[in-house]
Amino acid sequence: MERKLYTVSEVTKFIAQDKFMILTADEEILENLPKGNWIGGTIEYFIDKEGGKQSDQMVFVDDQTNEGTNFKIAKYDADKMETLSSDSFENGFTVVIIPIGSPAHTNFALHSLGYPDIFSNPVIGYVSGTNLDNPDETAKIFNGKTGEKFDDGLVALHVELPAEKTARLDIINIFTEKEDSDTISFQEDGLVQKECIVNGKVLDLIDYLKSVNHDTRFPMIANQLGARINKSFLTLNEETREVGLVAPVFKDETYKLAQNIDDYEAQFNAAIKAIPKTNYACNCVLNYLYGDFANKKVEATGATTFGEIAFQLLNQTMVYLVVE
Amino acid sequence: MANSNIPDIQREEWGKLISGEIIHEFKNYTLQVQLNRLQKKVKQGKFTAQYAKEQLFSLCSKYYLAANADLISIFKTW
Repeated sequence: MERKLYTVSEVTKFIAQDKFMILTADEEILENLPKGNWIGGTIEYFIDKEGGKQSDQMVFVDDQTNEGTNFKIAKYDADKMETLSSDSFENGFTVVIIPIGSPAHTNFALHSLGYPDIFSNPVIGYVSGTNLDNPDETAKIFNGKTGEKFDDGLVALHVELPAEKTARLDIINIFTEKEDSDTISFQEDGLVQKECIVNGKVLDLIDYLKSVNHDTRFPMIANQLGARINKSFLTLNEETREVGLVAPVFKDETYKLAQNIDDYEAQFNAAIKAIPKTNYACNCVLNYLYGDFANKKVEATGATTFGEIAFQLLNQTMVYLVVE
Repeated sequence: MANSNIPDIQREEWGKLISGEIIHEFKNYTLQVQLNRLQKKVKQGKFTAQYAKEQLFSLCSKYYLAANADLISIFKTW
């Protein structure tokens, strides 16, 4: 099935056909869908076939039915997520959804790479969110099998692949480090930081970012042996001096500031042309916003999310899965 | 641990990848992230170099198709 937005009526038919799907839509839409072989998350920003689109009426469908030979749908509480990969199949992949701002979100962000067997199969997915104009809403996840919705924990669709196929997970990060960026580190792991360390000196992070005229639409980047991992800025509170980050920084990692990007659309479209057809993909809502994707044709269809998952929590990144 | 799809685990390059003596930026995201993590764990004393080597070898065995270009670049032949 083509990865794109569908009407509720169409999705209801897919559920009746026992398709195994990841469904992304507004909360009211998801809670009124029939029970079935699906997991879901709340988001109403998408990259559809024609380009960026906000909708609280339609459902983005990622159907895995034709790829898998067996499936399992499961919900994990925030303190039980470390069993995620142990529950996956011998050969396959797992798609997960976690609600933003939940204990599960923080737990996964800080600890996922330490979960047993996390690398045994690709773990891909997203962090669900809310309408950006209604910050008081709470992000939700759904277990379609039981019809339950949750504001904490993780829902997973484990997919088994036939022996001759392998799932490969990869990312597209259009950001690169500024050549003249300082090397930045932090004293503690976490999603909120007040201070950073630059050239051996402990500095107020907000003051430092101002001193180097950094545009905080663009992230800090950790280089994990070639994998560029973004840490985006969410809030800068001048009173408390706290900087909120979309993905946590770690005290044993160093970071550089990202270069500004002038043309998101061209950058993404060029990167996407270089990859094969994806079986699953999602992109960051910050790219949707800062790149003005609502009014542009970007080739990478998928939900635009409040955090992307590729074994670990990422942001301002596109994650994708290819079955080969 | 014999697997003709990838170099034998006895090859010294595996250990050098873990210790950082061979610096290679894998093209494959999964290998980049896992090797980065393994190197950190060994430096922190949480994993032995031998255990980390086995973990890396195991991952490359499973994803030998995706790892092939990187392995050729590092090991040349096997």
